[in-house]
Amino acid sequence: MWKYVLKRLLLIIPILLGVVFIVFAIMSLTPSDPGRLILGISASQESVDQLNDQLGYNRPFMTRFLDYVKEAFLKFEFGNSYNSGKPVVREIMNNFPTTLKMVVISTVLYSIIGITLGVFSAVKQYSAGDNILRVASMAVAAFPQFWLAMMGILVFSLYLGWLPSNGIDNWKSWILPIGLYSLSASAPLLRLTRTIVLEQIRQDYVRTVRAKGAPEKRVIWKHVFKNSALPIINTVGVQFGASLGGMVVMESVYSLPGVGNLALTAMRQKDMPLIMGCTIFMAAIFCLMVLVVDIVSAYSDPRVKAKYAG
Amino acid sequence: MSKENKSKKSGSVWRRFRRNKPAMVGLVILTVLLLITVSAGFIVDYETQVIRNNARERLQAPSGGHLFGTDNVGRDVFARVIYGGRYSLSIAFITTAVSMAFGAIVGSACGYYGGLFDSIVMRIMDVLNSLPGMLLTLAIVAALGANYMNLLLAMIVSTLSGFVRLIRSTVIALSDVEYIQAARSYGSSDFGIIIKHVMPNAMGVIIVNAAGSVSNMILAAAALSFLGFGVQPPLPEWGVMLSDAKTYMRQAPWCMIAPGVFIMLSALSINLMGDGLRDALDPRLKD
Repeated sequence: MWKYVLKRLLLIIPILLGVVFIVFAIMSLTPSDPGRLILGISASQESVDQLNDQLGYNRPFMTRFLDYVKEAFLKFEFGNSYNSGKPVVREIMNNFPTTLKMVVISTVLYSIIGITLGVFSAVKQYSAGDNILRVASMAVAAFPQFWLAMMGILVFSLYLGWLPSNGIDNWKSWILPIGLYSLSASAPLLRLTRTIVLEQIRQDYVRTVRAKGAPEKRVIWKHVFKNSALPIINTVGVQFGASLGGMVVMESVYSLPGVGNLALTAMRQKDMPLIMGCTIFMAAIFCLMVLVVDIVSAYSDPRVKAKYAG
Repeated sequence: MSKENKSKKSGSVWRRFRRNKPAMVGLVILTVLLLITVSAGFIVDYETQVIRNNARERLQAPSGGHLFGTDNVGRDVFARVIYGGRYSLSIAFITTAVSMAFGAIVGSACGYYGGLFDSIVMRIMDVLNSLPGMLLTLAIVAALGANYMNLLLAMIVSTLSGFVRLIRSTVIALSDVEYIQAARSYGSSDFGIIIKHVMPNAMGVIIVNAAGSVSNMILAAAALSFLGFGVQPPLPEWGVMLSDAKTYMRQAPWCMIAPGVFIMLSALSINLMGDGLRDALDPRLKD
């Protein structure tokens, strides 16, 4: 088992190198002028050129790429943001708590909503409740997140005046972004849960358990749910890893100081060190989460575990 | 499969699809949306109603003259919304079609031959896949500049890996099946086997995934344009319209309603059809 974990951890390194290469290559498609970005519009062309030289922006692509990799992967040195002048690592760490808080709370919320309603919908298939939930989840999943976010501001901030519309002042500021993200993320999870549970309910072993006279609650939670849990946990875990890298849309609409918003601003300003830092950070977190999910499924499913026993 | 058999099979798929009420609702909504979008040029005038500013009529509430009201520079929201479908819908369909075609060629080659080619392609896909969310799309658009073509290109690159993986794994699962082995023993060429035997049987999964992809792409294209990383103003893309509407939310909430509802209806209609197709193509998957 440990050998497997170690092997997978080491495999993340070439993937991250690939990510750095791809983003480096993409960003070098555009003529960038970091000297101008750092010194501002009023600086003379000479000093801008000089700074570009100093930063090594006129060197060939491969030299710059290898230099970056050496600094980043061997010394954990990611440079300073062109825009703020602060170290990239500190910028990301300043923004990460906001994203982390939002992602953790909403993941708990939408998992509870999506999974319970999904199980309910499957158990009571074709009932009025199931029909309502199916239509509602379909509709919610079709609304763009940023539109829901804007409607939230319109209704709860502008008309009712209950909740703040942007930034973070107190606990009330979290309600709209977390609530609406959870609503929007619970819909696809509900649909997935319903499909998986329905698939399990039709299996022979369920009929056997029922025939043995087990109470329905026990059949559902002890047997059906236990067997459906793995793919659901997989989905939630991967989604968790993806959103830890920033909930770009929500953070942008509500002007929250999260990693997603940081990356977005960096891309708008072509702030190369910050773009690279954010990208590596997000990809690393995502790869680690996928690994955690794989390990959890290996541990909880004897069939999967047997495959990695060696 | 003989011609007669083939038409019989597609006939029964259509029969099952037709009986599925939600799927038919989806088909009707999508058809209406496409008709409106295609004929937008006959309903409203692009220059005067969609693009030109008209300060005297700015921020008017919905009325007989302006069905969905006017925006912050006096353009008719209805006219802009029906033109907007051209961007969002074309981006979603083209992105899906191109990545599906790419996925079909590369994915089936990977799955059928395996070996070094497969390993190299799959490692590249791993890298593309490990940039979560819209990160890759954002980076490409940021580098190339925000406009329709670059958004399209960026979205295709970000969608590729999903289709390559899906088609590769379907082909691997199928190439061990007895009838493929039989075809091989007859001496059919690899290409013939993939086209005649593997692809038709993989089509169900691919089509259902393509439907999901189209609806995701509609939402993603709107979100990217909303963030400024896509179609640019003054073009009447739905995300662009919502981004303008955000500033004037208090004075003109109607500017937000129509584009949002149109995005929702497009994504919803395709989801409904996707579910219907899944059930019709493979009744065993029905829930």
